[in-house]
Amino acid sequence: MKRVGVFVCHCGSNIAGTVDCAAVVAAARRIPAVAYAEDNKYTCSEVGQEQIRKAVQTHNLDRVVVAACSPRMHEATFRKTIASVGLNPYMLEIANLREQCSWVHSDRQAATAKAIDLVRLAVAKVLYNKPLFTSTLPVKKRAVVIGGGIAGIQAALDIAEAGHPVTLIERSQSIGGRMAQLDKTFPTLDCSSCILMPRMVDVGAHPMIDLMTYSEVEEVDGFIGNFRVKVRQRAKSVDHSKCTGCGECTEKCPTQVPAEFEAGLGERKAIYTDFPQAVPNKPVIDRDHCRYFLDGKCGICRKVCQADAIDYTQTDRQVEIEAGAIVVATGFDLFDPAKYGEYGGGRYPDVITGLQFERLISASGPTNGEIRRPSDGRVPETIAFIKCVGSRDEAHGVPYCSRVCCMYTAKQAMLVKEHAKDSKVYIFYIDVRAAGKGYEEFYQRAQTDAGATYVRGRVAKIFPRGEKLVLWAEDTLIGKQLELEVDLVVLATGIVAREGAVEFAQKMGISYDGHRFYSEAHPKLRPVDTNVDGIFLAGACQGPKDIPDTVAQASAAAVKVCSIFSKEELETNAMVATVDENICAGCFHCRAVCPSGAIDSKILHAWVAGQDVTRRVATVNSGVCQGCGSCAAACPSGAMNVGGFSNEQILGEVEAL
Amino acid sequence: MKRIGYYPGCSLHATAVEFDTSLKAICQHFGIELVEIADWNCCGSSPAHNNDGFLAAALAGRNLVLAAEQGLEELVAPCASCFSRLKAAQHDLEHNEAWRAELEKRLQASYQSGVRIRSILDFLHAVIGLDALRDRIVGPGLAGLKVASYYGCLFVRPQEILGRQEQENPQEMDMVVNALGGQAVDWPFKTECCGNSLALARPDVAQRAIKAILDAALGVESDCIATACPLCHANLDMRQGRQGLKMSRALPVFYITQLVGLACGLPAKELGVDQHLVSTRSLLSAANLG
Repeated sequence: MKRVGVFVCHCGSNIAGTVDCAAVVAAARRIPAVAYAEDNKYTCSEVGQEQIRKAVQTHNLDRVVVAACSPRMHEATFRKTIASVGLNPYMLEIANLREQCSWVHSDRQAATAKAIDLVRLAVAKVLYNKPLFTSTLPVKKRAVVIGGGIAGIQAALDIAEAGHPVTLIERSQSIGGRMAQLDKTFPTLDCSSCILMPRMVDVGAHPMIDLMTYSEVEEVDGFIGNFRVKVRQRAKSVDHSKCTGCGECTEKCPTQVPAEFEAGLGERKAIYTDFPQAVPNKPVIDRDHCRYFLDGKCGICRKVCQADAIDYTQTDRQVEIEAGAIVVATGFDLFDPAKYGEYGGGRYPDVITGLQFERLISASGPTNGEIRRPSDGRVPETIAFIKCVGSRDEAHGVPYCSRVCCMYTAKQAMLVKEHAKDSKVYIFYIDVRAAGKGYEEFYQRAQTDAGATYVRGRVAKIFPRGEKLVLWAEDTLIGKQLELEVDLVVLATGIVAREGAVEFAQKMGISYDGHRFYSEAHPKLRPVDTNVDGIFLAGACQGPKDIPDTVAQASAAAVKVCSIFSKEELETNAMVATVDENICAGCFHCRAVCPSGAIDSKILHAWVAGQDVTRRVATVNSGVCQGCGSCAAACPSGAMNVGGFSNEQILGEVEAL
Repeated sequence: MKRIGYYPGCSLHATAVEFDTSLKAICQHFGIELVEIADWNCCGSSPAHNNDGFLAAALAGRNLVLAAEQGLEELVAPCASCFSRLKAAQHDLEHNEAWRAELEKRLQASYQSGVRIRSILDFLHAVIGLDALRDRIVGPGLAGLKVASYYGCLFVRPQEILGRQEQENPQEMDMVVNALGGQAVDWPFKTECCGNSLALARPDVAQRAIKAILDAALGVESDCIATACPLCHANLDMRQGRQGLKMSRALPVFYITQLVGLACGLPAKELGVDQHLVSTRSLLSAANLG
């Protein structure tokens, strides 16, 4: 005789506020298979769990239904609870009375009736639960970190320092990312390069870090502990084992190309490093612009290279890396201000972005750190900064706050004082958000020390008048329209997800939000995990973030990776598909729908009437199966079953409805 | 002969009669038959939609019903305000079943969706075509003439009805000017407000708006302004004489249809270019036009 225990949770007032929990318990007691039922204020608390343990022992329960929150929240908790008193952990079902009932309804009577139905379903299902068992698989102790900005650098260094090998994959010529493009950082005005470069050098020199630049991830498959990452290493056209990084080729290259690193304000050569302190400090040839590759002429770099390192015959290489864990640190793009027609839509050269301003004030930038207008090279007497361009603006599809612009604008205002002390600075804002350690104080200094004038209001229009730019705006604090003539406008453009972020997420199988930022597994309690075990997030690919938060998240991701690597073997998922070989007809519809490639075939032999008759059937690789259930749904004969979601269990639920 | 429905609205029969005559002149020139919707009524602009959404949709909607009944698959509404109201009514009636049912009940007629409503710029591009314009230029056309194309607000907005992404720097009129051999200047006030009916209620506010536009057009050294809206034309043309504008020189304001006619060698008189408050004579004789 099966004996079910039902435990109804109030979740404080989260459930009890809308659902009459006593009535749910009373209804549960009337179900024949239910041997015991009770309600608790917080079933997940130690007291609540102890109640379950006691009830299992006192009432000799062999399976349990917890009617509480989503199974994503506490299924694992309660599995451990019942396992501690000797039940198989999978003899548990959760009825989700919170997310799927009390939180979404307001009519108490109807919600209670629905809650009772949900409990009845769970009881009907648990009656068909069978004990499930896990097995173990060895862990590949190598991490792949995707993206070589500060997030990827920090994660790679932390994992490598813990003694585990890391492959760091970077798309551009050098690691460094956005942080390398910045001049100074808020709120301390530390030189960005000075704090970043040592880390970059550490990455380049670390014996445990395998650095793959100019490379892109093409495919990821496998699962936690056993990922396979296919990487395309683009042809650098320079043999880095011979190259000494002398720079002669770059100097002599006749082709000028707009430099990505200079945000459109400077140029680079066709054979180039991203910036002088690049890691690796050895160039690559941009084949889309190199004269040799375009029309077969030139070849100057090969002539001047004393190390004979130029190799035009190199081809792209495919490399497959086996890794136990992956850190995604693919960074962000800046909002394209050309979408703001009222600010000139990109037509006015002296309306620049915050990142371009960083390059202007950088000592290694296109103007050697002097603030000069792109149009005529003049030092601007008046500079206007406009915040929230591509942030908090639903008309442009970006309702969120980009978090860094208030602070980087305050910083840039301070740096104007350093670089062009007679220039007058106006800052147009909606609100000033300076929530961070030392941030408010820094913002105050921008006003007191740097003398920036903050004007509360969005700029409505920018247009040229002679050599000046005219701003029309409203000062909402005094309720007046104003017109202002300035020499340079800096748009504090917001953070958006990388171009191609969605396609990349689909390659990895990780989920993303409505703004294409990658989703964490839980917004509060699992902020660096993704929905895929073993893949973690670091930095702005998950959402707008400043440098300290990025570094913190990267270190957190590294710890998560190391905790996987602290085990020799990982427990596999017990809720995987199994085949009833007696029924399987070998049609392999299951193999066609399996997203994980977990289904193989095998030959069965049987003696029938004195003859060896063979039959081909499906078989599941339980280490690869993710338990998604596609095969079970596709199987025409019902031979395929997913543990925890067997056909019997689901039909049991349906019948109870 | 191409045949297209014509919704003149009140302006083209009255204050903007030269918009009407110039449009008819070029249509004749390009072999297009304008079929005025029989028994058309007021488009409702602007009082109706400020007071009663259904009234606005119904007033303009009746014209759409008539157009369909009279077998007109497309129609041109040269006045920007009429164009905007007709498009808005079409949008509303296609998204609001209750309004559509109410309209049908009151008119005792069925509303047929799908009448293609063209602005004058859309008409020049899609019905006449830039290539045809280029082909029919007489002599150098508008060569040497620097024209500030002024679109006003209603050709580009609202986004949810017109579906345009770009609201600040439209190009359609500039392309027509360039096709006619003229030089469309790049300037940042193409869609800035002309003051609209505030010219009557708050002339001080309207004057500020008008001055900004005229100053900007002078600032890029344009010879004249091209418009495609009777109200824009009235505000920019009629109010230049005002004290307080302090203009360095007068700036003739044309309808784009007049410029098309001039470039094609039609007589100035037929195009009504002598009916503006700012004289066009010296500019046209200097450019050998008309």
